[in-house]
Amino acid sequence: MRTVFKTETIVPKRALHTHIPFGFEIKEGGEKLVIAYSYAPKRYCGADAENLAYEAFLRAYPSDEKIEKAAVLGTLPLNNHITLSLEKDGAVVGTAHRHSPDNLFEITGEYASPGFFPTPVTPGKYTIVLSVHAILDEEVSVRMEAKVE
Amino acid sequence: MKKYKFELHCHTYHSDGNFSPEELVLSARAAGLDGIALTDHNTSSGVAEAVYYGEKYGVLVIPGIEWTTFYGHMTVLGGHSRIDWKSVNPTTVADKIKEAHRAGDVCILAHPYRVGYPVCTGGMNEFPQEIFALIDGYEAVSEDVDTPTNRRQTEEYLQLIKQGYRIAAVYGRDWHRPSNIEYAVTELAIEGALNVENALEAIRRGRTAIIQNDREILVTPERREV
Repeated sequence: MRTVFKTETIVPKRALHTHIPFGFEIKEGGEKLVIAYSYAPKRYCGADAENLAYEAFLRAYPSDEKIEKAAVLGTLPLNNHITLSLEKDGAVVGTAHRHSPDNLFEITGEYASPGFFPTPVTPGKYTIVLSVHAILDEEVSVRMEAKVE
Repeated sequence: MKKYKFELHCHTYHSDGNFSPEELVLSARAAGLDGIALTDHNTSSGVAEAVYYGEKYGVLVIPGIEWTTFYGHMTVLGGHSRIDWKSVNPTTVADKIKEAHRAGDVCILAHPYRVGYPVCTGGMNEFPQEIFALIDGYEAVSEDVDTPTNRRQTEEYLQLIKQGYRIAAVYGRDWHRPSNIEYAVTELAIEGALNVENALEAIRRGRTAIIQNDREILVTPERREV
């Protein structure tokens, strides 16, 4: 397996609701592209979590509807949520909309992990895009490594 | 014209659901549904498998996707368009809906008053008002029928109809896994054979009703004429 891309980076809170691209090139193709992707922390442990959730309920509920504490608590813990998409030469290979912070994705010409379309691992320009759906901590650390087999 | 029961908002493990495509189709059949739309978050990679099992088990599967954006969620049914969900935001959403229409798809605003960020990013609609002149359907009832936010959705839907917008009332179970919620179905009055294009046309024409336990709880005005 050849590593074709590897990074450890920080996604800051100000990156909320942005798409962050990471480009890399595969010069020599192979049978399989394997992407290991993880981030931490997943759970937000701030003391204001319950209040943040309550405010979200307040915005959504009818004004005359009582917001039950149990309903608010049922949405905790709040989470950071960053999904990974892959593009090849500008075309979408797929998106893994998962809640797990630890992932291993495989793409070949014949099959691919759920969320992705089977795509031959040929030479070209690839882009991993991180989509920051939720980030409550000041920063989230991200690790990615792409290998070709 | 014949009436068929559909669930138009479903997920599998191709996004964050627990169902395999086969399990979803079998669950739909067990629930007495005539059809479903597979609307995984930001991917349609499970569609081919779901269509295969739909044909095998006698459940019509409408190809689809749920644009799960930071500012609102939209189910796009038909499988004709190839729009990158990352390109959809409040500035572009109107053009993206038009692009989906040109390709032959229909667009349904999903759970417009779900509890939103940071509980569910984009769960609460923040798209601009102009989308109401473009969307084909509106989830006037979502998930558990008794969820308080459904009251706001139903009120907004009826207000939009009163203002003259032509939008189909749709139910969205947002079906990710087996559950015991109080759910409804969307009933489509379909002209001709039961197939994807005729089902999409029923939504475009507003021939929809939201049904719970065989009782109509919300009917699109156009459907009353059927």
